[in-house]
Amino acid sequence: MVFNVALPGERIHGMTTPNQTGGSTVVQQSPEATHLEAPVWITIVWDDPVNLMSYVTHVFASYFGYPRAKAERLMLQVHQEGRSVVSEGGREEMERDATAMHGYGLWATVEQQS
Amino acid sequence: MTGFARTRDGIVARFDPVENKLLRSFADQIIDLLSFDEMVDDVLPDESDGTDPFTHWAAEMANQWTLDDSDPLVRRLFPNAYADDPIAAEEFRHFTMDEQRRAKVRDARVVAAALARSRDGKRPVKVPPDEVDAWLKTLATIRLALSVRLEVVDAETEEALHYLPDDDPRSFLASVYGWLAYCLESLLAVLAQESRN
Repeated sequence: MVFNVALPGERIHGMTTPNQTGGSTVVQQSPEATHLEAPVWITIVWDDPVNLMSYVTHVFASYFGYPRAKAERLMLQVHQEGRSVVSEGGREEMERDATAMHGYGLWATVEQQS
Repeated sequence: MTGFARTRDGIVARFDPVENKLLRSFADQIIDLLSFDEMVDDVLPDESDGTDPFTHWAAEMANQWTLDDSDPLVRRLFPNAYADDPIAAEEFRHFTMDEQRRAKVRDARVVAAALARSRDGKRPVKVPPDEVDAWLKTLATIRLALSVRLEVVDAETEEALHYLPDDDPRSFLASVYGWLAYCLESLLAVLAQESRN
């Protein structure tokens, strides 16, 4: 298992992280840098032809504790766009989330946010 | 009326004897598919107390023997968590698959036991709050298993199940698959009502 040793919430001094999708960019460290940008990982849930929309909504609300409206919005994104990012954080945390999604019969993957 | 309902005493499920038997049979099949404890017992020496390395090895070997990755159902129940990184994917499976497998067996056992207590559908099945998840997940697992058996791979093949002619050999399982969707919807509707109250 990978340990996430980075300090969350810290940014490299003076650098901006523009990104069309709104995520932050992981930047290579220069030797003089004193802060580490924590690599952000995301859990993606993918559409599948079997699971019911009501079920997927319930899983998002129940497991993540999202309000109903947000859970529905994410479910619709899965359904209409084929996938949705349902959580973000450290790698181990995302693996736990993906495992939980698999436990419910959903298909989820983990990747580093680009 | 079969399905789940909210009563004074909590959530109950009502199934007729045929439905009860069918559901129980599917739960048992999930248990059989995913259990390997019997196999481990066969290879363990009698004096093993379960803590020696041999036990661990036997368990790992049995795990690899019974869960066959070339089986599309195994692949669907234990999907790949790293789409583009086969090494990370393998590590992830190695660490998580056994616990996942055990959890599914535990949940299916909860459902099978609850159905058994209903005396073939003569009594309603009680679903206490701490068993709701087991029902949701087991119903979902059974639907996934059926979908693999029915070769559902996309929205089109799924849709086609609803329009099978009566003499199609898949039509019985397809109707069960549809009935299970109804069951799951009915449980979700009860839960949604409760969260609004």
